[in-house]
Amino acid sequence: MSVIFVLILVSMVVAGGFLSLFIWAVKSGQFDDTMTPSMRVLFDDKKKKKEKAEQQANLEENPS
Amino acid sequence: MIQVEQKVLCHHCGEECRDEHINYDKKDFCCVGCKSIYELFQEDDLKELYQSRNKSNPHLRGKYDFLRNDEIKGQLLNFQSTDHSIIHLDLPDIHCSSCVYVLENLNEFHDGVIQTKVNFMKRAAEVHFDPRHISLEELAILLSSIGYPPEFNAADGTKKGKSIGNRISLKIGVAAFCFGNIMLLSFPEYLGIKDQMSHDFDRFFSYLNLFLVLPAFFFSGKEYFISAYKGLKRGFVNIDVPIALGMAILFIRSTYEIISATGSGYMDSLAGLIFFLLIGKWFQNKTYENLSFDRDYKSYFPLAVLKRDGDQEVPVPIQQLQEGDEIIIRNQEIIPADAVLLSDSANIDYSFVTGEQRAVKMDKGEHIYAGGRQAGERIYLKVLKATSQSYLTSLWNSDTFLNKKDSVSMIDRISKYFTIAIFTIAIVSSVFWYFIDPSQIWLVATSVLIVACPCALALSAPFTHGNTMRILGRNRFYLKSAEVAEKLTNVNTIVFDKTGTITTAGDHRVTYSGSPMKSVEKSILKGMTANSTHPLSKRIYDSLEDVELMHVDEFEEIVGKGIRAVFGKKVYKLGSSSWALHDNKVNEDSVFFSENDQLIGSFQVTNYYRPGLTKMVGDLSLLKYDLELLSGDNHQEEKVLKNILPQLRSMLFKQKPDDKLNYVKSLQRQHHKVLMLGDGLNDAGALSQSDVGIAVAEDVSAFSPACDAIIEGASVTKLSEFLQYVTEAKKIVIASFVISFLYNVVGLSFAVVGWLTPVFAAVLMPLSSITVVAFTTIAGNLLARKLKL
Repeated sequence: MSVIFVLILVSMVVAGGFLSLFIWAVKSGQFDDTMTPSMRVLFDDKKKKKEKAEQQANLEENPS
Repeated sequence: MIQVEQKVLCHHCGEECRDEHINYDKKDFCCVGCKSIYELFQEDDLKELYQSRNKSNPHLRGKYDFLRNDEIKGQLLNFQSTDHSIIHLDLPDIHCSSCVYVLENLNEFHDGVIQTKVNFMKRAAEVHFDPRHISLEELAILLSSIGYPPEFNAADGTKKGKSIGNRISLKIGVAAFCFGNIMLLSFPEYLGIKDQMSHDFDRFFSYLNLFLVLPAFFFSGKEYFISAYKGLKRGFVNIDVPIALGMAILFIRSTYEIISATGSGYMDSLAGLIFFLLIGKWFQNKTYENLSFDRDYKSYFPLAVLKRDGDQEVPVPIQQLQEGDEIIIRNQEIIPADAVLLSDSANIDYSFVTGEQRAVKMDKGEHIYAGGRQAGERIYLKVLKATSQSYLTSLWNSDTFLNKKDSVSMIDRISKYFTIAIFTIAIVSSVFWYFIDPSQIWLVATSVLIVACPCALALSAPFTHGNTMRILGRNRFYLKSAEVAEKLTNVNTIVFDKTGTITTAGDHRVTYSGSPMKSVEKSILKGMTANSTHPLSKRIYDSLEDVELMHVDEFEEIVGKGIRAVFGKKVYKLGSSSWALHDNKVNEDSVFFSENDQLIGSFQVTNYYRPGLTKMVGDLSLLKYDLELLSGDNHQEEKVLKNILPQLRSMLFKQKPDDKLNYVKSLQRQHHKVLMLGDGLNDAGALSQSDVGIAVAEDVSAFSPACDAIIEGASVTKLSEFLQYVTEAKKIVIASFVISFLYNVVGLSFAVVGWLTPVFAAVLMPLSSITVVAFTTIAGNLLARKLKL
């Protein structure tokens, strides 16, 4: 039965980990603006494509 | 003339094009952002776009001169170093997701910009830039040139605290964590398997509970103690007093039981109590982040103004303006202080102050009040009073704005009697138990204080009012706080402003009388009005929607008179009768159109009353509200108004801002509870003085004066439903009070006889809270459905 002591303590540590993640998320401002990121997510693709294109261009220029 | 409403969808984002409708490349766009994106897709090179745009905007030069002033810059920047600066900018033209895209790619427009982060709801952006490559002034010009002129006003640099929402969600998170874990650890006890467990487990769980409750009690719950302490210090028993008392007793008794190993304590009840209370608070604290309820005059005035200093023109912050300073006001700039005109003439539009769009011609030496906007060439003025003492701002500085109405809510009024009652019960039962079994006194007295903790009572008002705010918000009526919902129920007099409140600010009815116009005359008229900036000609232009535009020669606009244009060999004039017809009749309300000084016809521009107004006023008078009208306008429309709104008790015209304020004051002296609806800066004093001031806005995120609530123009006619709703919602609050009292009676009767066990408390306390919350929410929603809100 005494294994329960260990298990409960372990579960507390895990739960505490989640709590601290939550606190970190609030403090780092992730809940400040919930609207804009939903729009921003749609735009990222184009940028990456551009970077890729640039990388490719660089590769072509300096094949070494 | 009938106005046909036509829905135009944006070519790019598919949203409806509303106020600013852009036609580009034969396609419709709802905002500059969408148009920019469209162009981007055509060109696919952001730099080219910027370069081509920047050239086409020479008029922006000089507009942001004041951003060179180091003092102003220091006020505005959030962070400053040699190679990195951060600024928060208000960009009111942010409209849709395309805007976010354009702005967040600002670094592609200019190398000096490091990063932009847009907050869509607040219509603001945080811009990181390198001051070595782009100055603040250049940044502002860049933003304006791509269609997002940043807004700077005198209130900048004195605001921006951390939002309250986050702190409360942090507290809720901690409380929920503690509550959940304590519940889990208390499960053996709930199920009654405690006896089979070893004593070690029992102790272990109890101490763990004690440990877990500490953050909930000291972090999440502390504000109740602070609030209770503050209330008592002011000699006032608010609802937080019995709550804090109950929480403290719960904590002390449970800790005592755990440490002395006499019981397992009520830690689950305590954590649950804090959790539910915070949820209630959060529900009530619904904020409309994109709305601003506390604007004072500073938000209306520019940040800086050009001052003539010898031969130089230097921008100075308006706070530093002194009597005798000579200032320069350019086209479309707002005059920041009461002043005397030094130039020969000026054309001042006070629409900003009075809501009435009619430019007034001023001559040299005339006194000009702060808040007017110059339309036309630059003018020179001599400052008479500092900004803070000008006529309009002095309205703000009157007592009305300093001591904000401090009303006691219904719940706080009850809590005094409630607290007294609990203490009486606790003392009486203690005395009673003293004779039966003195060892039980401590137990019974604490049980009474614990179970009487008015959690459900404290939740009923926040949840009902929070729900009210949500439902009204859905109908585009935004309350500043939950207290406003309660204040609305006490109102018995409603004062309306005219322009912009019961009329729509933008829409006007243009009627034409005279001989029927030929189509060529219509086209000439359209050509004449197209180039004019006068509000009346703009409206005439708008009314000529389907007419083809004709180019006219020798176009000339004479301030205070009208427009003159030549077409072929004929001279056309549009304007006042004395000018267009050379007669001496004075008729302010009509605009005359003449050909070679012969009358063709005249236009009457009248206000456009909101549809549904008559019905609303009828409903309100049936509900026994006193209705009054205050207007800054002249008597012109009195007859029309009497006709469509016969229930108005009185109508007053030509009311200046302080007349309105004093009128509301006099009503209040006669013990009226006043609800005032108004739109412009001219109503600001009255709005603030009245018990509930509602600002009417066509676009709720646009400027609105300080107020208790903001309503969207089209929803004004639903006011009677709104008032009915809040009145009924008050009954819901009372009903839920009764429910929570019943729970208290049950709980107290158990406590008094000494049967209060931890399990019983752990069930009863959340149950009462949940019942109350469910009741208020369901009743509120049913009521909304009944009123079709």
